[in-house]
Amino acid sequence: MTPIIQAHNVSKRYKDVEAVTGVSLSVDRGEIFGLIGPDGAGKSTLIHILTGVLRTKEGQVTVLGKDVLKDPESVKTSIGLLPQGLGLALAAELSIEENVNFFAEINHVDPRRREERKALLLEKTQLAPFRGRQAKNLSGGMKQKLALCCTLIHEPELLFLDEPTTGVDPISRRELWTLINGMVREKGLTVFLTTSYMDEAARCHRVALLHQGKIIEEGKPDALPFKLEGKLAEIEAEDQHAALTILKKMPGVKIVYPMGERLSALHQIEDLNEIKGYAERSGIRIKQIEARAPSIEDVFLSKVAGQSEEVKEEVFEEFFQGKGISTEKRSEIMIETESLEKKFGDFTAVDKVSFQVKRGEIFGFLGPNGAGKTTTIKMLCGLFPPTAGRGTIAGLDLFKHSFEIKKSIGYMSQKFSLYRDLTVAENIQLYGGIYGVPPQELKRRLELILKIADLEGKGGFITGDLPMGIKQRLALGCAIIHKPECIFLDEPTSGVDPVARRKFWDIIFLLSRKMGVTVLVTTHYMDEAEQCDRLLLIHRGSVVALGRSEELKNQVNEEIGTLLELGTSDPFLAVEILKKHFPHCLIYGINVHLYTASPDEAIPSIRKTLEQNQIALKDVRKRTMPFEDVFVYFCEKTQQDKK
Amino acid sequence: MFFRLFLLMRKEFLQFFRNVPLLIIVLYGATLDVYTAGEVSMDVHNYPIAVYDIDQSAQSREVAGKLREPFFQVTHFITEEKQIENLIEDGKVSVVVVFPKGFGEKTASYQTAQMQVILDGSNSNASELALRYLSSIVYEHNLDLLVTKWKISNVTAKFIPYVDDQTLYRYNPNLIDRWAFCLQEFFTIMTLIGMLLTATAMVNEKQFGTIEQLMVTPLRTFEIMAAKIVPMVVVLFIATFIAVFVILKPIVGVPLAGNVWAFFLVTLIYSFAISGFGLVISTLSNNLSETVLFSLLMVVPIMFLSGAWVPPEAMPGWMRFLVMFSPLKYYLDLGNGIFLKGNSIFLMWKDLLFLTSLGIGAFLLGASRFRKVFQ
Repeated sequence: MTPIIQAHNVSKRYKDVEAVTGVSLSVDRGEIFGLIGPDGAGKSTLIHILTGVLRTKEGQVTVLGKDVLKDPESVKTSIGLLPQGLGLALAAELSIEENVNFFAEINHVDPRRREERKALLLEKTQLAPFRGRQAKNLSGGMKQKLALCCTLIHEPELLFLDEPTTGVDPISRRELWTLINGMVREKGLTVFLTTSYMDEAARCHRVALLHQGKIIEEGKPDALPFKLEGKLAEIEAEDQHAALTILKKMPGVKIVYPMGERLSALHQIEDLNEIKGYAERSGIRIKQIEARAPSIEDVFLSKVAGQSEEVKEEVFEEFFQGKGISTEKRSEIMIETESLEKKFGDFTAVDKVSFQVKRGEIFGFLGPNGAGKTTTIKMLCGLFPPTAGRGTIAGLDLFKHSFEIKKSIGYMSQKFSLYRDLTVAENIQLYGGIYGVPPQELKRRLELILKIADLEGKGGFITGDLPMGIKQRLALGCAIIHKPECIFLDEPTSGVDPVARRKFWDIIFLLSRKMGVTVLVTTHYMDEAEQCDRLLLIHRGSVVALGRSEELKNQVNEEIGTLLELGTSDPFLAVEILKKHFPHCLIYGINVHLYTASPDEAIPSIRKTLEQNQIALKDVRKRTMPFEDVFVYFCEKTQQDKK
Repeated sequence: MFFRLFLLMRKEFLQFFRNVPLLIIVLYGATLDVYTAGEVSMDVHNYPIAVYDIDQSAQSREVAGKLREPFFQVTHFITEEKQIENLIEDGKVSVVVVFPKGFGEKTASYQTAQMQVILDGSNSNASELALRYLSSIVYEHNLDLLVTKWKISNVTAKFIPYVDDQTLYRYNPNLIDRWAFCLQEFFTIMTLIGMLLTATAMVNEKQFGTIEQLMVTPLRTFEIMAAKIVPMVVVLFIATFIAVFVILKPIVGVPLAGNVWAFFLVTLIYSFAISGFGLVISTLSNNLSETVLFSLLMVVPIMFLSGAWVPPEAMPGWMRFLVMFSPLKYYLDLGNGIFLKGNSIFLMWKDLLFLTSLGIGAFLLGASRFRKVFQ
């Protein structure tokens, strides 16, 4: 069988930037192929080359047996492309039905055939009841489903999806995946998609990791973890911060970073006891150390993490002038809200949110776009007043002392919001000056912030020209220039590559553990959640869960059981059959994920049920649950409770 | 607090001077644009006309012969009536002069002869000018006829009793159009630039999200606004300086009869007023392209109502009322007054008062909208 997509040694260069370098890949008919990488890795460039949207002189591309680089028009009728950006391909003013019709017309779909297809697609996507609604009034998930309908209306054999799930909430994301899986199964469709969520790799049949225009690893998602360069260990120490400092210096340990109250280490050491011994020789007691199964992100990190400089603790000590906080102080309440509410007209963006954050804690807000994370942060920062409820920061009332609060908080907004046309030093000086840092002191802090952001001697660089990861660290530097007690970070690592993200979290950790700065951080990366001390799960404006990530996972385990991953000969049919007995059962890539309270008893009965239906159960594994499952579980639970 | 303001303003200047396109626009507005406005004139030269001489008499030829340069150029001699319509429709000529049958005979026999002038009403400005030239040509011809009638061969028309109106133009004795044009262009372009500068500087902050970062700092709203507007006023001021001392005075030769400092004072007040308008625009728009569209939408009525194109006296009552709200009207009156008439601003206190109150009004509106939008 010849591959449906075959690319050989493809490169693309924009002026002096090489976006894609020597990429070769092939995709077979009926596969879901995932191209995974951070923003700016070259995913979109590659997808545009494969679809004939973008031309390049270097390399060969054959799609559906046709040479795309020579004749890009030849494949366009048999492929579908969903471009990046939520609903950007849709006409905002047209209704769902009009959008589908429009795409049918530009693809010359026969009107009678169109009606059949449209009815089918709208029913599958559950959009049929809303067919008259304008595209601009749809939620993110609905927009993406509609866009999918539009790209499928002309019955393409091959579908290209450019970041279909970015900005879509986990529940809609799950629905989108079900749709994609269904198409592949029923119509024999082939799907080529890109994503920046590493955890989506497991949902594909085959994946390639893209980093700076090059494919650094390729293979089945199951096989990828074995490509980890080194080993992973999870460590629980008595003094987490001291252990971190020591282990960073240990030879053979490549990366070590905090994960909630534990540490995760990428190392090359045969015997884990060696690590334990090394730490204990330095007077640090290790409570527990065990090998950990690597995730795709770990593989990515292990491949690309270079000898880049560690974030220096001394710099922070110098910056805060040794300011640390005592244990008693850590029990102080820093942020407190009670039934905080924000309404925009009829729309309730934040619905009675209550929580407490202690001094020096890393508190995570987890939720999809539009869940109300940003709105809550903006209320706390005094950007707009709450509609109702109560809140204090450092004992100051949100309503009465909003101006005083501003002096003791730092804020980093979702969009990069330093002045792009000013130099690095000009930006730092500006913010320092605004907060009233005296000129002499400002000079000192300027140098230190340059160190924090890896920008030593580069104060004269224009800010807009910096790479994404550096920009984010500079923004964080500007947010702490006045040594705030509390910082609010709104999706600070969105689109940043894993290595830069790692470094960013190192800084967050230092600020919290060492300097006693309270950090309230929002994210929609599920894997980042586990690095926070405590989490607030928020969905459609309401709190769905609150607690430590371990606690939340345990709660899910208690309520629906442990996760089993099943390798079967026909996963689609297997899910259909097993669903009758196990409500929490779904397709996950080429495997079936299933939750059961008593796994050991369940396995024989699963095998029996499947065998009765001529499905072979190839293997069964117990898996740690992806954090997305935790999130979706709590969201669905809240929705059921409301009903 | 002053250090804070200083830093914020410094930032504004840095950003302005790094924004090359904006820099070019301001420089162009202050120099070339003002200069080129003076290169045109209100006179029409070598206006193409057609003559349809049915009469073909010596008298008709004599009149037709007077339709010549510099005002007219006869480009077509028509022989059939239907050609008239074709020529006008095709836009080849805008004026057709018709001498009917018997034109010569009637003048020769001391009767009143008639000629017809057909004008293209769609091109009303030029047509009206052409008509004015034509009337004076016919008027002179009539004088000649009178002389001939009385057969006073040794006297010229000058001795015939008639009232000669001698026009004297105060403030611009040689009626140099370019003075007025250049000034008017300068006042107008300052309006557009002033509005755009403030609005774009503000909306850029909004578009890039930097305003949020400012709002969470302990800055007061008025500090943010002041730091934004003062640098823009300074830029406008520099532009005015260049326009006056590089273009208007030395090159165009505008007299500047009044006190130059008085003019700068007026400009200062005007700049503030206009950045108030810019502030309002920035609160209405979400991105740069919307800002530009809103600015155009605002500038056009301001210009129209300023009396720069049409005198307010030619407007209906309701529109004349609206004239009061065009800041450009006052700037035009005050600027022209100082430059050409040499008026002192005390004489024009009324204009100054209106301009100031309009500025304060726009400013307050902008400030309150700013608070609403950003808080």
